[in-house]
Amino acid sequence: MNSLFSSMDAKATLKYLNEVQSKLMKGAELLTDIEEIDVGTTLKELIYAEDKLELHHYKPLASKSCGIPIMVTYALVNRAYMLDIQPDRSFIRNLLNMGLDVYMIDWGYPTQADRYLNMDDYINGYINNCVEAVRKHSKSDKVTMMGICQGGTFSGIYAALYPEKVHNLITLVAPFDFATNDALLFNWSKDMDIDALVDAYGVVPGDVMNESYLMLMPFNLNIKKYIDMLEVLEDKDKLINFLRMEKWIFDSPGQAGECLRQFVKDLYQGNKLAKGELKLGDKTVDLGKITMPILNIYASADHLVPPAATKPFNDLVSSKDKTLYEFKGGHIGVFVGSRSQKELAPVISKWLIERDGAAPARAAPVKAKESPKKAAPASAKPAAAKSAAAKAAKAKTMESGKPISAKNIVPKVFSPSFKKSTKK
Amino acid sequence: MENSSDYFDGWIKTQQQAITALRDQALQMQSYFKNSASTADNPFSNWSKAVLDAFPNGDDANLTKGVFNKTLFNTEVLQKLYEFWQPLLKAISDKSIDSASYKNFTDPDKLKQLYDKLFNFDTDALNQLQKQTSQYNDVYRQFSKPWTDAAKTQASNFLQGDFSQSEMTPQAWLQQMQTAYATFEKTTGKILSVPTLGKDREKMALFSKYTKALTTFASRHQEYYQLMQTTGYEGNQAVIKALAEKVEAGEKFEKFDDFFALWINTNEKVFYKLFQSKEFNERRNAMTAAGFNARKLYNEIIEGQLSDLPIARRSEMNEVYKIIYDLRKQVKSLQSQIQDLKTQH
Repeated sequence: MNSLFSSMDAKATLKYLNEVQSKLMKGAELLTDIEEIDVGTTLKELIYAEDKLELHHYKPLASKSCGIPIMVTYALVNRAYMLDIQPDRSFIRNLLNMGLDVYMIDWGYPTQADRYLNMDDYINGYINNCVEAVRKHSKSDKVTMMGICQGGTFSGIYAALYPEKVHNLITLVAPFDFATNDALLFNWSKDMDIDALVDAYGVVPGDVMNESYLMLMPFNLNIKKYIDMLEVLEDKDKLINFLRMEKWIFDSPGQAGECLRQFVKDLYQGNKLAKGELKLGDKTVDLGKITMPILNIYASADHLVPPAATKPFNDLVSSKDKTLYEFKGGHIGVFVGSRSQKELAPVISKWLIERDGAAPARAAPVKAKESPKKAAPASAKPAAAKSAAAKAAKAKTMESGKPISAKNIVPKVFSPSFKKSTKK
Repeated sequence: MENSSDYFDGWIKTQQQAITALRDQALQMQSYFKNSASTADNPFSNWSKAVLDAFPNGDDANLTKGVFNKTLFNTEVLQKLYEFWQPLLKAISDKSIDSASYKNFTDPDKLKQLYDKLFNFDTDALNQLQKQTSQYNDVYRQFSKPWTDAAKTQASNFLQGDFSQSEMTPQAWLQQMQTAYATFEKTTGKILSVPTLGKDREKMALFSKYTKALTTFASRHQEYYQLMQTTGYEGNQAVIKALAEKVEAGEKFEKFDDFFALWINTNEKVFYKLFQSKEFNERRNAMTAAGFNARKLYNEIIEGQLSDLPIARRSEMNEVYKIIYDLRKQVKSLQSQIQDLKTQH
């Protein structure tokens, strides 16, 4: 706040209070004019619907640079429109601008009628049906799975169960090794009585989940944020952007009880995915069956899904072409931060173009000699975990041959010669 | 150094500016919200109420309204924070305080009020909790009062008796028996007048379980709240320590924002440490588990009360949902099989 309380005398205080009041009045005037907070405005069409779920195909914004369609799977706990929160901060739009063909699942809002949906229904049912719909609509045999947060975990599980349908797998801030206690949610979930929660609610309200998220940084999220809002209160555009984020934060769908029960028990508490013990229906999920190229993006300052939960994924899969990419920022910053707008879409685009069609061999050289299957999750083998963590720390250079940097690839993406050289 | 004349001139000017500013803003307010602001006893709260009332309806408008309400609330928090710390900050600016004197700065009662306000603890829930605890105490008192009275009467009879004799008088025995029976009738004896089997007894047993669950929750909630309160106090001590270090280093705050940032970050760190602790996890889990258990029993009570009415109950709806869920799966499976057959042919 500019010059507020610039000194501690009564005059300055009065001035400050007057400024605050002016801002509040101006802000009130602007706020009463806002009836609708528009989000997710990029043009799209509905191509498939099932129960509460909708699958959309985004209208292209540039000529196609990559033949394999991308299916984006977002987490169940928040709404997917965060990826298209506003026109100038849209992860989806950035991908489209890179010439990528994008589909995205909208999970909708579960009601009590959905309380019995479990992880098997979401992954073997909904996600598989969506993949089929994308294959049919795009006339492509395979898809690129792009999973975000919990959606990344689901996408990884799907890729392990149906590797024949997945050409590439991209995960963003997605947890796979739940043994860590580096983030509060992981710590809290270990001992929580999930049975009592699910039995009490059936479909667990989004507000119950939000209460926990707000407690992760209680002073910043409950006090400072709204004090800081005074700074944008007089600027309508900034104010609407603030409200868009607020809308997204509190627009939390309820969680189908059985799915949440399984996610907490089997993953947060049992770490069964990393241990290779997770069962969905009659199938056991073995991440070692993932052989397609993977791009695992994590955020260095992620307070929701810590790097310790995301990075070991690369050691749990059998893929030879695997890339670990560090985004310097937080969990949400990956999608809406100003830097991410310039950085991530080009990185993903370049990575995909290099692996388009039947050309995975064109991937960056893999220097890691050790078989990925030898590594183990932290909770399964303590000694191996240390080794996995150490490897993960070096993964950018070890697995990609050289660190990926947005700086050295952005100009190349739209270069005709670059496209030509990567499409044979 | 200013002389006293300069000081008062400055003071008068400041007052004039303040009055002018307030008048202008009042006029502005009236022009925006003529109906509600003009008769305001408390202009700010009436103004904010008028603003909130002026918001259109609809989901997004309600969100906007909620956000603005939080901003108003937090602005007030900021001002209270300023008022609370201002004397100390002033002393830092004037360098008229030493680090040792901080120890006497904080008043626990004021601190409690401040933290209740600032941390936005669930005061409604706490009030409700206290109310429920109080109600429970009342019930317990009503139950135990006849026994206490009886004990008093017995004690009185005993004292009135002849201590030289080994036996009490027949009148005293009779009175004692009557008192004991009356007490029994008023309390435990009531159970004899209700059916011993069937739904009513089950309902009573359930209600008793619910009462117990509620008091367990009240107790767990109190423990949790106490932990948060203690940590709030620790946060405050950490802020004071940071301020003391600043004084020792001869530093001062240029603006209140600097202090606000220090206050936020210091408290955030203290609470983060708490949230990572096993004790917090245990208390939070104990509280939520107790709450969910009470909620579950409450649902059962409601189910019991509604059992004779021609409306669907929660458990019945859950059965329906389960049937819908199973049917959906069957239909999808059959549709898939049909599709496969079509493809084959």
